[in-house]
Amino acid sequence: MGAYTSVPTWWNHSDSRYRLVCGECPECGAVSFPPSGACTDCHERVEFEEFEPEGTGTVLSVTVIEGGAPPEFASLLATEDAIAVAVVELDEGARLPAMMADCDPHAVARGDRVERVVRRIYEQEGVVRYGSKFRPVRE
Amino acid sequence: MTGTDVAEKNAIAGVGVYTPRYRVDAETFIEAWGGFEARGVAAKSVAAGDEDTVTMAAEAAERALADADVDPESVTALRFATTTPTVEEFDVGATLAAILGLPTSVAVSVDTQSTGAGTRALRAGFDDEGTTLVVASDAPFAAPDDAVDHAAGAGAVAFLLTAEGTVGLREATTYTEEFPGTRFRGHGSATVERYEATAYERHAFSGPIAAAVGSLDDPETAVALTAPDGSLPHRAARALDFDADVYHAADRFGDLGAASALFGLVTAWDDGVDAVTLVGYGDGATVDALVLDGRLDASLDRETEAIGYAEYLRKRGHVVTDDGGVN
Amino acid sequence: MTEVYVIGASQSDYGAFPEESYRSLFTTAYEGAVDAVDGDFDESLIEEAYVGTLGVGGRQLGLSGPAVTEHVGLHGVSCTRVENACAASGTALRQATLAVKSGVVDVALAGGFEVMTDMSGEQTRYWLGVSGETEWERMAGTTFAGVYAQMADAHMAEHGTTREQLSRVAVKNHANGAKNPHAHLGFECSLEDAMAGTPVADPLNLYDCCPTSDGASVAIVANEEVARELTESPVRVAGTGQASARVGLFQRPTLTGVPASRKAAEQAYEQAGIGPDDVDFAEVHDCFSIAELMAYEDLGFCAPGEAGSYIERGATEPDGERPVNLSGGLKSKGHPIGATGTGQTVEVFKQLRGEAGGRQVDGLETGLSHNVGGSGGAAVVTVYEGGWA
Repeated sequence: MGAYTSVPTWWNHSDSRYRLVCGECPECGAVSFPPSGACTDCHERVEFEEFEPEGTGTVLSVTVIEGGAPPEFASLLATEDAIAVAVVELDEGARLPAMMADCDPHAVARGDRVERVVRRIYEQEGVVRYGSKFRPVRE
Repeated sequence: MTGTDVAEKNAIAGVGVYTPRYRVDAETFIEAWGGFEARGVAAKSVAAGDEDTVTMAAEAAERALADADVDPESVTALRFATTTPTVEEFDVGATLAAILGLPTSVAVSVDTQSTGAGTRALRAGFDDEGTTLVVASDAPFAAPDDAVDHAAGAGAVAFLLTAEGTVGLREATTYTEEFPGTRFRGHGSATVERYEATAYERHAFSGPIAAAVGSLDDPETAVALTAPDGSLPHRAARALDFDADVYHAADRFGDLGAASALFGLVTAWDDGVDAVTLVGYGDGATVDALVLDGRLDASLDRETEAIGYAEYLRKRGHVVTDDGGVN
Repeated sequence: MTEVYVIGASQSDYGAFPEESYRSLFTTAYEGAVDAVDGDFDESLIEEAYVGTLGVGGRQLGLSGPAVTEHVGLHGVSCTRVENACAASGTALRQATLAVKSGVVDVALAGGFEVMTDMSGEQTRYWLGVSGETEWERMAGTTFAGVYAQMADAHMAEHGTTREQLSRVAVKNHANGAKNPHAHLGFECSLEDAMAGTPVADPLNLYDCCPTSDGASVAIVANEEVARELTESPVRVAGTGQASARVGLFQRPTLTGVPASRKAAEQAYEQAGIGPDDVDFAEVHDCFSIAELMAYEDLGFCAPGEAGSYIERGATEPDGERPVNLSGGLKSKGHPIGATGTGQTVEVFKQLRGEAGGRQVDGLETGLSHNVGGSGGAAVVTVYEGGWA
């Protein structure tokens, strides 16, 4: 069993799942992620101007999960031992929660530059849910 | 067929390669198993628990788009090749297109059931009109004691083809001859099997390749081949009627399935070769032999992490159940 | 409008009780609360009930309020189940207070329960994640400990908060809880132990995390007329505040505080006509060590960013200027989610009436309870004062 995010719910935001599509608030200019609901900054209900960000950002905060993961991530934890989970601020301003991928989870730190990648998030009812994670930018 | 109208045809304008960061080497296998059945494989790449052929394809494809400086919105065709689609029925091409942000008008095709699928998709891309994204991504899987699994690697390669591309198709041939049972995956099965009659298998591999390359008008001596391991391509090359410089990536990454020959092509480019005979082999058997003029820069290097055998088994899914338990 | 008084409050033991059920635990808390009323209390005066539970385990997700109030014989009362994650029964207390304050009823019950220790490991891990933002935060792998760990990481980076300062929360609260017969983890721990706990979500270790507990708690509130008939040792609800915020940490303006706590505290202080300096002691929501440190700042006990040095100088020890979590807090007393809010009320009630036994601190007049839902999607702050208005 896992947290129940239905397939249609996932699909509704697939542009944001896959390519981090954000919304700029026409009232205050702040960028919200995902681009639905009231603006996260001015709290006005607005029609966001949606755009696809560059996909790069900075780690604001990070933790490493080594146990106690909910069932939907049990198999990932079993294969990867530890998962780094961060709050990332995109260069365009929006913040989002993100799992780190393609790196040593213990080596991720606040201030790190990161870029979006797409990975399997989890599988439920036989349907794989894909979505964005982040990895350190390597020059 | 010699390419007199190359300028009007699609040519490769961008390339992208992705391999997962984990590596397991032959020594690690020998310590754990007392042997390593994959000839000529020094090390191979291993996908992380959150990777599959779709995610690896997306990584390679994004790099190819960036390399060619092409907007995903302008792609008119997506040709995806893998022997290991994530589902047996369902168009994973649609998922890949969505991840990449390709337009809804994009023509999607998925080539599978053959390790030659990547080369076949690339060949078709040369004939397309418009902007074609060819992506081959694979991670073969077999029983952990099987030579196929010992050799199995993981990786993806993508090419972006446009009329303005610089790597063109000079000529291409095909050869098809039935050799039942050499390597196959049964209905409903996750594992590749082999008939394991060594002499027959070698014949089934080398014969069709020699026939396909032999029918080219003007083959290049640099030959990039499908490489189920690091030994078979050299064996096949010896059957050619010229001295070939063999290029494959199985020594570094293992068996890359439908992406294997295309990794060989990139390996040749990486070595500075600017005209290559590309040979895609699929058990069955079918062979596509292409002669390509030109080269692009593409690095196969990346930061990696060596893993032990137990970790390898877990990441390969040999011991982990769906709910995270251990078999 | 009438003043509102807590006339009785009690809790079951918190812990792991395979032989108990949510109904038996609630019964224990209810009977204790009725017994705690000084005078001869007629239970039929209770006309309104608010029962907090997250519903962990899914054992009675629908109608979980009447499932316990009818069980204890509160037949036919207006009963509402309150869900605000870990702030469920803090919210229940606010609702009960408002019901009495409005004059609609004379006496109301607020309470809560949770049974968390009887599930399989998989069920437990599932339920522990349900109060995070599900679609994005949980799907990024953020566990409940993980989101607080992210706040701790940011607090340490922005304010220089140290590993030792985090661990001091555990040491203090375990020392307090060791004197509380109802505590789930009623043992003391050394600073060395607390700093060397098994990693849970870096930088948080096991000693930074509260346990999952079984338990129930009940508080009975009444208008002044009823209260004056029943007690000479009144505990007045002087102020109540509640606020909400985005459920996901990533959608809130700060990673190092809980804006809903600040807003709820402002309301409660204003209603009580006091400021943070007037608070003698507090029960704060220390689901994780960092949560208690952030509470010091959000409640105005110290300046933003100074919680680390505030605990380090002993300000919140029982003999400090403002004791915090004399009960042992969520860390040591335990955290049966739905029971936690009114469980805090039980401690404030006892301390203000001088009934806290071995952990009694003398001379306390103004207390505060602070109950947070999830990582800060909801917060309730209640100010209590001993004596009549």
